Amino acid sequence: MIRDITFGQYYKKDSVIHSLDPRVKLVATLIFLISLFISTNIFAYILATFFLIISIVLCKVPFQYIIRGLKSLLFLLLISIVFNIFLTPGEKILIFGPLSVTKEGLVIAIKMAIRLIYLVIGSSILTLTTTPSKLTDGLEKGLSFLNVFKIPVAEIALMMSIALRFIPILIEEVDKIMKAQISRGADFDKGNLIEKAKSLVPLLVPLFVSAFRRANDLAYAMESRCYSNNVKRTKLRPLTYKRIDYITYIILLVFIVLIFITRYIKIDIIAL
Amino acid sequence: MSILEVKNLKYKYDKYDDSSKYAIDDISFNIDEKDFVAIIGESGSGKSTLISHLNGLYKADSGEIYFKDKNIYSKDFDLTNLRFKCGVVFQYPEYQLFSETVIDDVAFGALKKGLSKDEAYDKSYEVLKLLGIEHLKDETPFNLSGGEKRKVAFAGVFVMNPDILIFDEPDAGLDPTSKVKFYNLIKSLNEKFGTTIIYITHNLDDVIEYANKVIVLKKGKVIKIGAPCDVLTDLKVMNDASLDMPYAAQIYHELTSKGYNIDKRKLKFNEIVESLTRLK
Amino acid sequence: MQNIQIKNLIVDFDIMNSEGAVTSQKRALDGINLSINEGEFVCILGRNGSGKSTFAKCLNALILPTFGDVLINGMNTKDETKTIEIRKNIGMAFQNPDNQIVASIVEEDIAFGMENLCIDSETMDKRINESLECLGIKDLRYSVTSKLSGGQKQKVSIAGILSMKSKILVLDEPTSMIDKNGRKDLIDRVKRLNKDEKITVILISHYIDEISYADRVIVFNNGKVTMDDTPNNITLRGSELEKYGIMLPYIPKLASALKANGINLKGNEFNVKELCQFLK
Repeated sequence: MIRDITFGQYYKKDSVIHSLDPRVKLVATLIFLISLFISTNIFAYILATFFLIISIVLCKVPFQYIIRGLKSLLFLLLISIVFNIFLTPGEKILIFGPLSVTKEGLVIAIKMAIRLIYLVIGSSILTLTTTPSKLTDGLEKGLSFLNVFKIPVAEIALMMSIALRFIPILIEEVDKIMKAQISRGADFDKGNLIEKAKSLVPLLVPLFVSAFRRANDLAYAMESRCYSNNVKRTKLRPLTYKRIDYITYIILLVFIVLIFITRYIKIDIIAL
Repeated sequence: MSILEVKNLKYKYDKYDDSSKYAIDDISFNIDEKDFVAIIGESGSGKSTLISHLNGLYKADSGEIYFKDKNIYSKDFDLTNLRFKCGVVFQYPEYQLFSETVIDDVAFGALKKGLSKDEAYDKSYEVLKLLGIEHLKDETPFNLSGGEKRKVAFAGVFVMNPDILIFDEPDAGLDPTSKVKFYNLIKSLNEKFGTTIIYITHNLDDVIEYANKVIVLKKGKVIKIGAPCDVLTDLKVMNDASLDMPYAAQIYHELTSKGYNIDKRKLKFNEIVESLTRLK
Repeated sequence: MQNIQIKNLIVDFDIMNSEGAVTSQKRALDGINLSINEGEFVCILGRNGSGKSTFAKCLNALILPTFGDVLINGMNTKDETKTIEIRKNIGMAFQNPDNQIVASIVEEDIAFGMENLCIDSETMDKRINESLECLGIKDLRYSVTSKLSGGQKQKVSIAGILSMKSKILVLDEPTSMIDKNGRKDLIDRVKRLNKDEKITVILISHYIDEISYADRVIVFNNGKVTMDDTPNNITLRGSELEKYGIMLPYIPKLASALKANGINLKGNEFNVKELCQFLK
């Protein structure tokens, strides 16, 4: 039922992207997202598309698997497209009664759709190719300067990686709870918004109870394995940059510079 | 008379991936009223997926299910009503309890079924009494012991007065004494009220003790259906299913290989004690 | 040398009302005196709520005694400066395999304990290999933990304990959420660790058939040790066991029933061949 959520799930494969330092991948994702939002014309979009296609090919994760995460976003996508198409003022090209489609609206809607889709695919590639613990290792090391401000970066990072690990377990749990309640006559699709929200309460209660029990068990298990929060820990795989990481940084630099350059190419995309 | 008929059922989880295997792969079988059916098979053989189809929780990719000769996938079939008639008790009671008090929780299904508040609570109290846990009615379900939670979860399904009771590994995590009590209870429901029982289990000696029909699954396919004494003593079937033979069947084979004559139809614990005593 | 010494151990739990005020106390462990020697394989039985899990948590200072002492290699669990050292000596695996795995990749999870002990990454790498080898799951090193079966997850937890070079293994109902084949496989491995690596094993279980692996069986009831004997002798005390909510496995149960019928059996036979010998 809700098993289709791909976010936060690691897909095991042997690829260049998988082997990159998580810090590089975090920076790459950030740069890609920035590039999407500063893109003004078609060249920038072509460049971003090119960048994305190369990443998809290199990461070796099946394409269908990557775009599965889009399904849950379809609704949001549709809403934003519809709103932009109909509510942007400008040159009218089609008229349906009180509603009218404008040229400007159409362009904005298309841009919006591309941005959203690319954004989801881009960040999916990050989470699909990086294990949660690598991801948090990357954040931990990348943000370690915050230690100066007495922010416990290491503890927060560990908390995050545990939270990410439990996402698939909790999803499965919601699935089980829903099945049990539907079997006793509950209907999650029926009724208006308020009724639907109400039917979620019996869903959340067992989920919370079980989450607290799991947290309690996990705390025991971690303590049993000598975890204590005031001791410095070593790392199985301390992060170190390799050649490929430096090369990737250079590629990223070139990419973002190119995106900036496209801003000065004067072509009216609306005319295309 | 047939109460549940499954025809050429197929289902797979990963619909996007053509190479993925069917979790349920062309399954057909027939369950009669008053049957006591055990579904067995190693983990991953599709047992849980199969029972999730029987009350319409999952919709098969192809194939049909008939409940009392009515196709449950036809448009005018009332699936909610099927869920009252075909009660499923899942493996972990933790996921099935959600109300503030035990009696509220048990009454949930009865209220959904359309009973008035008084009727639903009277009925719920009756069920709690039948299970011997009426003293817990105002407790929070979350503070109960594992065995008590299991009973409450069962009560919540039983209160809907189903024609078929389906259990996913009802004895996992129960201590042996509670296990025997539980089986005796559902056996008496089966005998007294004619409730059809379908359950998933790993404990094959209990299958001989209680069930009258057993379905053996392997990789989403049915490899054998029949009476427990025939199926569980069949070396080839048990081997194909990668299951260990129950002790009773092992004793049967040991004795026949030694040239003793023992009735295959009498493999229940007391019957074995009797035949072995006679052999001396 | 004695590994574990328990002197007059008493543990009380506070019972709180909904406002969090302590209303009463419940005695979970009531005067336990035990000593467990290096290299022993001890199986602890008892019905739910008999105090066996509380006892396990006392061993590595997760729960501290209300009265009495727990000494691990001479170190008292009450001494806070020794807590880490004690936990290094005693590894624990719990019932629900999902709730004890910290990382999403097998090798990262095994490393968790060693990371806490500040072991350098080269040594970690070596020990991960060794401990995976010990449990026969070398091929799982880079697997995603959430995709493993229950039995594999428990093996990963145990590998994590081995990598910390613990000499005592406490397993708190490790097999209750695992299917039959996985269960046997896991306990076989644990037995081998006990034999080859001389690791002391304390196995808390409610599957009585697992006692055949042990050197010694301890039965808990109401927070007290009520039986402490060899597996062979325990099996002969079936009626006493039943009083404490424990039922004999199929074959010993059958053997004692036949013995009661005057057949020449010892009454503690564990397999079919032994049982059928009297027919020769």
